[in-house]
Amino acid sequence: MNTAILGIESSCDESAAAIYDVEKGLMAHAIYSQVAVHADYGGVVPELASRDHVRKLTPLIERVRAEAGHPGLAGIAYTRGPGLVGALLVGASLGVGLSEGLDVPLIGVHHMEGHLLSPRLEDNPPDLPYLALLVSGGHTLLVYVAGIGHYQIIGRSVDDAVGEAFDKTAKTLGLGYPGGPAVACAAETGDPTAYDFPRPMTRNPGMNFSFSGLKTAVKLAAGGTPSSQEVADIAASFQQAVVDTLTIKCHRALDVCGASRLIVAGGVGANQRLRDALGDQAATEGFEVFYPRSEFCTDNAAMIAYTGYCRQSEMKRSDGVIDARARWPLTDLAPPGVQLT
Amino acid sequence: MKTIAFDASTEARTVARHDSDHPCDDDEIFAIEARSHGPRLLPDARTLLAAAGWHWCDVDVLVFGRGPGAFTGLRIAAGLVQGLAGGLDRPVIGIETPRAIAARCLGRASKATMAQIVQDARLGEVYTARYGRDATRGVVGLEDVSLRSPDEVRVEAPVNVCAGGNGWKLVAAHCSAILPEFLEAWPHALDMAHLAALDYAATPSIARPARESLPLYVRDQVVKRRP
Repeated sequence: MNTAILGIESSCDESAAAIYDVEKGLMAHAIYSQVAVHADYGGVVPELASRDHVRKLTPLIERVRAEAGHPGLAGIAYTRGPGLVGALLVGASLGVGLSEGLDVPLIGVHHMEGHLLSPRLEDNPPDLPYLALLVSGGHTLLVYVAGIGHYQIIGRSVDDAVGEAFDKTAKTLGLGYPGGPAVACAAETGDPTAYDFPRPMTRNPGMNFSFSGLKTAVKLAAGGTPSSQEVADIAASFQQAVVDTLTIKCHRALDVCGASRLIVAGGVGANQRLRDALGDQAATEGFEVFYPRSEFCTDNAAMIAYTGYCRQSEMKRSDGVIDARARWPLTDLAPPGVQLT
Repeated sequence: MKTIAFDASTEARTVARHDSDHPCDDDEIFAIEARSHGPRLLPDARTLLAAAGWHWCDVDVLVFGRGPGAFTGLRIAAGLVQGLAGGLDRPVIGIETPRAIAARCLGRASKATMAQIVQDARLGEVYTARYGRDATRGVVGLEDVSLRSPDEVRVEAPVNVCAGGNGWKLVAAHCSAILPEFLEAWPHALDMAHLAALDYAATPSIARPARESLPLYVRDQVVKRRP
């Protein structure tokens, strides 16, 4: 009996493929990052992203199938959305074609559900329920995960995503792309107390975020030609403001949900300062914090294959329709096997 | 050789079935229907397979229109064909979209020796190329497909030349010369299947693995670099 699921990810600027086996766990995964393709433009160029996906995905799929020993596939899971529609359509058309050619069932999965479930790929996975902090270039969300498909959004950014704020800050400071690692690197030699940047929306009750004001504060601070030490200080102060904001909101959200487990996913989840702060907070307040391994913080196909496994009961022979959803609210999802009306 | 061919490079959605041993049984589904490529390409192929009593494993080679044309359509066809080819372990032949239009034009104009194809490339530009007859491969390109402003297209004198593609109205707006006889606006997957069969007979190595089934964009300047 075939037990392996092939995952395909192409929602933004990472092409990825992975094989998750129901019995053996993650057998192989491969990610091709397009960072170098987009670096000259200071952000993701959708057309270039799509062009790279159609070049890279099939070799990645061939590679993971070979690394896993060409297991018989029980199904294929591809990222249906949300994301860049042109990029999504590459993965969708490939997934639909492969499903047809191999005569195996197919499922289009929700990219954010993949991130929510990604820590469960690790050896010591968190039990459900848990609170999830999803922080990336496209999303800033606090989600209560009661079970697979039971997702309640309890906080979100009302403007820029936190990763976007890192990218824009890096651009303002001339630090390159992607902004997260660039700002973190510059911050290492900076003073996090040098600039008193706002901790947005922390004085009001609630768990929503706003990062556009922080971005503007950075622009004002960086006016003129800052010295390299000033750049480092601004980077460190900006990073500290983000970390403080996220930890304050996590504290509130854990209280409101009564959760004792926090998972952190998305590219910003790889930020060491954030990890240290949440680790300290967890030790003080008595909750557990979980992270996926660093390569699974960013977009990857292991989480897509795993989500396909979690929703295997919904896999079916493709109707032949190649379809993608650029916008797809997480709250549209239902538990596996349950049809929302 | 049994082939299934797809083209999604224009507003036309076209899928065809071809059997070199039984060309009388060839069939094609063709529709001018915007945004229908994703929803309909594969179901159309299933319809054609079922009508002939074929299964996917009966198909020897997959064919697709590699462009140039609408970027998203090109990638839908390329992605679908890559997936099918990978799953079936079959090779792929990509056919230049304007070459297929040229094949149809030259098939209708028995005296013409050349087809000049002009396709609307959007943004006020056109893709253009000239094609001639070839004893082995049916129709061959006389030059690489290029991206031009409509007023830069050198229009062939209408002697033994026919015209095709959906971009001639753009050229006509800038040109006072007499245009060649216009015969076909759209590419047809059936022509691609026929051309692929001829190409394969002439050069079997033209059939490539899934990973090499990539679109031909021609328009490569799609974004301005940051100063």
